Order: sequence, then structure tokens, then C-alpha cells
Amino acid sequence: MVAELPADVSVIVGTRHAALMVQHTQFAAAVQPLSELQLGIGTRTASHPVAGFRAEAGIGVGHIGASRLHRGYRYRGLVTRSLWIASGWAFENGLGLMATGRASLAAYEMTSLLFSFVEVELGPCITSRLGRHAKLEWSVPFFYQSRHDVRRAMGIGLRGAIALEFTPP
Amino acid sequence: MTIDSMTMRVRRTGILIHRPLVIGIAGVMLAVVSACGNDPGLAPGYAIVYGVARYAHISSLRQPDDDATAIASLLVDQGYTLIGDGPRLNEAATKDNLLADFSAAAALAEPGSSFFFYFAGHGYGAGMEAYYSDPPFSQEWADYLASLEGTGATAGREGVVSFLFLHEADPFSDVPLTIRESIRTDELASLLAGIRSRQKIVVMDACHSGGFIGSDGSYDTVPSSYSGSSEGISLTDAVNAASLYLSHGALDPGAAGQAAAVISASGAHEFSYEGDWAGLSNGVFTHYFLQAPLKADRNHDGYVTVSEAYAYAAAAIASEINHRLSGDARFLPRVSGGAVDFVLFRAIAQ
Repeated sequence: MVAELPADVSVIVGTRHAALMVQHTQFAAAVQPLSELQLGIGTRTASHPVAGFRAEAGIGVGHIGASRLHRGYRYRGLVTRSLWIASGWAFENGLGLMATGRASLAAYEMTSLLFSFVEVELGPCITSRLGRHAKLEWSVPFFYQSRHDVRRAMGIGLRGAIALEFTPP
Repeated sequence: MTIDSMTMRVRRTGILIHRPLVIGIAGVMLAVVSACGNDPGLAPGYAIVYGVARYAHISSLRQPDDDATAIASLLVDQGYTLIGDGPRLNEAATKDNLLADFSAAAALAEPGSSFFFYFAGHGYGAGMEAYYSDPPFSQEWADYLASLEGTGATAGREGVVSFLFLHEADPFSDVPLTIRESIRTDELASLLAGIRSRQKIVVMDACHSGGFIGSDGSYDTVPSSYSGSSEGISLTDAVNAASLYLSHGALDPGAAGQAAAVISASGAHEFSYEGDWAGLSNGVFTHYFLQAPLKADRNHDGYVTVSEAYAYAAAAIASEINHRLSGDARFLPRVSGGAVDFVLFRAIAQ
């Protein structure tokens, strides 16, 4: 008989670093570096002692660096603020799969101009337990940004996060 | 200037899903290509420069012809070729010459080149009539502006019809002449659409020139009439930016040939000023813009882009000029949005 495990509540602090490929209609594609700091809360419910469904939500503060100059132009850097929600399924001390949806507010660097976009992310993750109340998670997210200022924006990154877990009585 | 007035934007209805392996390989390949590096350079370009200090029918100014001369000299030093063999000043700043110059540029400019248009002189933005009472605008002019409501002339970011007045313009007494001898927002968009250069840059030192910046999908947190009190991003700004995402279509491939980067000296409902009262030998905005090759290379990569030049001029005006002005007299330059930032100048070592 499988024991019914209580849900955990966790505080998550993570960072994402990625390569964003951007394509404009009339300019060649370019790569921009993306960095983001994430803060969120999550919960894990499990009916199995070694795996479970997870749900998380939080905020992010990020920066997308300007691309290299190429033939007289570059892609502008951005400062971003985001709201994100994520869910997935993962083994304890093992593999999992997480999907994330993100809504971001972005400002072009050196200007007072704002725009917004939404983003979807999907990738495998690995969870390592650090102790009774903490675990480390690594993931390799592939993501797509739905933006109105470029033709396509997508990329791949590396995300690391620490989750501090609290089990309700 | 990202031009909405000439095209319809296609709203995206779906998300292109690529197989993760293709995305990963493409990203790695592009990273390798980018890392190889090459001289970004300054694409050889053509420039049209207009400066009107002397007007035939309305009050003259003191510095726009000097501004245009200085800008023309800077552009030539930077490798641009001037259309018309020099800046068009005062009596030479006519609509016929302007149309001829743009036709010449359309014939010469190759797709890989840059194109630069500069104007200094009187400008006007609809809605500012109350500030011009001696003489006042005529009812005929008001009727003309009313007829433009809802047309492509109001397709800019702030929805304001804006004009650049050439030498013969006479908005107070001769509306048909003024229509003929001025450049309207959609007219400039149409002229720029004929230029094949991928990199098009427009710089204007004129009152109300912010109305020439198109609705490029970005929201400007600086209000159309800056008074020096708005700092940072408010919740209203965030909501407006999010609403813009829902209402603004995705980038239309058909509009690719019409986009231009625009720097205006002031917002659609703001004035820009000559500089002699502040001890400057050029108009205020042009004075700081001329310093861009020397002082605006923020990342020290040897090149000054549109964003860098704009940021330098805006910061200088905010810190050195606006404290001498009060309330509605304060102003800030504006810049167009969009993902791509063009190289303007090679940086000059001090």
C-alpha cells in the first residue's frame, strides 16, 4: 500500500541564464544573453514516495543584453520584470519535466519605452535533495517569446534553483 | 519611425513550435557565428539635411540654419554623402527640393546602406493652437486638422498630426500653401518608404516633432507634455504597456521596408528651444546631439548608436536645461522603439 504524503510548501530562489535567438524581418538573426533572478513559492503533492506533481509561481527580474554589432546595427538590450507560473512532474533525486508560462514587462535599455510579451518554457529538470528541508533543482529550459517587435525570439538556457521546503503539520 | 499609416499589421494567431533539437542546434550555431566576430562598421550612407531659420511668412528663428550646417559637416566627416551637395538652408528649403532630394536618395541608396534625414526649424503639432495667439491659427486651419482625424496622418504613437514647416509655409494666412510647403507625418513616412536602405534614421529639432514617432508597439512612460515630475514606471504605465500587447499586431513582414529610427527634440505637445539664451551656439537639442560622437559611446565599443545618442541628449537636457525652465516649458527628446538599434556615428576620442 502506498502512503499518502502531505503536500509541501516551498520558497524558491532561482536563476536562469540563456541564449536568446532573435530574428527581425529584415535583419539577420542574432544571439542575446539572458539572465533572470526568480523568486517564487511552490507546492508538491505526492501519492508516491519518490515522485510528485509540482506547481510554482513567482516573480522574476531579468536582463537581456544587447547583441553584438553587425553591419551597422544591433539588437537592443532589455530590462524585464515577469510573473511566472510553472508546473510539472518530477522524481525526488531524479529526473522531471517542468513547463512554465511567463508574462513579462520589458523596457528597452537607455529609453523610457515599455512593451510586454508572453513566454512559454519547457524542459527537463534534475532534483537533488540537500537535506530535510532543502533541495536543489537544475533544468535546461527551451523557451519561446511571443513578441510583437521581432519576428521570432526563442532560446535555450540553464536554470538553477534552491527550494526551501516546509511541511505543514 | 515605425510606420503604421501605410500598412496593415497581421495579428498572430498561433505560436510556431519547433522541435527542441532544431532550436538547440540553431542556437549553438548562431552562438558560434556570433562569436566569430567581424567589424560592425558604419554602413556607407546618404543624408538629406534641412535647416530653416529664415521664413518668408512667419516668424524667423536664429539657429536652425547653423544647426543644419553643423550636422551636415558632422555627417560628411562620418562618411555620409549629402544629397543636394550640401544642406538645404532657408530659401532653398522648399517642398520641390525636398521631393527631388528624396527621389535622388531613393535612386542611390542600396539596401545595405544607411539613410539619414535631419530637419531643424519650425514644427507644429495639432492640439497646440492655444499656445499660438499672436497671430492665431485660422478656422480654415482648424477645419483642415479636423479633416485629418482618423486618417494615416494620426497614426503616430501619440495620435497627433505633426508638421515640419519649410521656408514658404504660412499656416496663419494661407492653408493651401502651408499644406504644400510643409512635411506631414504620413508624408514623411511615404517618402521614407521609397528609400531602400535597411537603416533609416530621422532626427528632428523642431517643436512638437515627437508626433512623427510611429506607433511601434511600445509605450512611452514620458508623457506627451513632460513637466519634469514623472519619474520611474507606474502601475498605469505597466497596464498600458500590457494593453498595447493585446491590441497591437505582430511585426508585419510587409512593413519591413518602411521602418525608421526617429529621434525628436521634443514630445508631440512640447516645444524645443534655440540655445542662445543658454549660451549655446546651436539649438538646445542639436547642441547635445552634436556632442554624441564625443560623449555618447556608453559601452565604449567605438560606435554611437541611436539609443546612445538619444540617451546622452535626453540626460543632458534633463540635468542642464530643464532646471532653468518651469512646468510646461520643460521638454525631453523622444526616440522610437523597436528591437533594432542602428549605428549612427563612429565614436571620436576626446
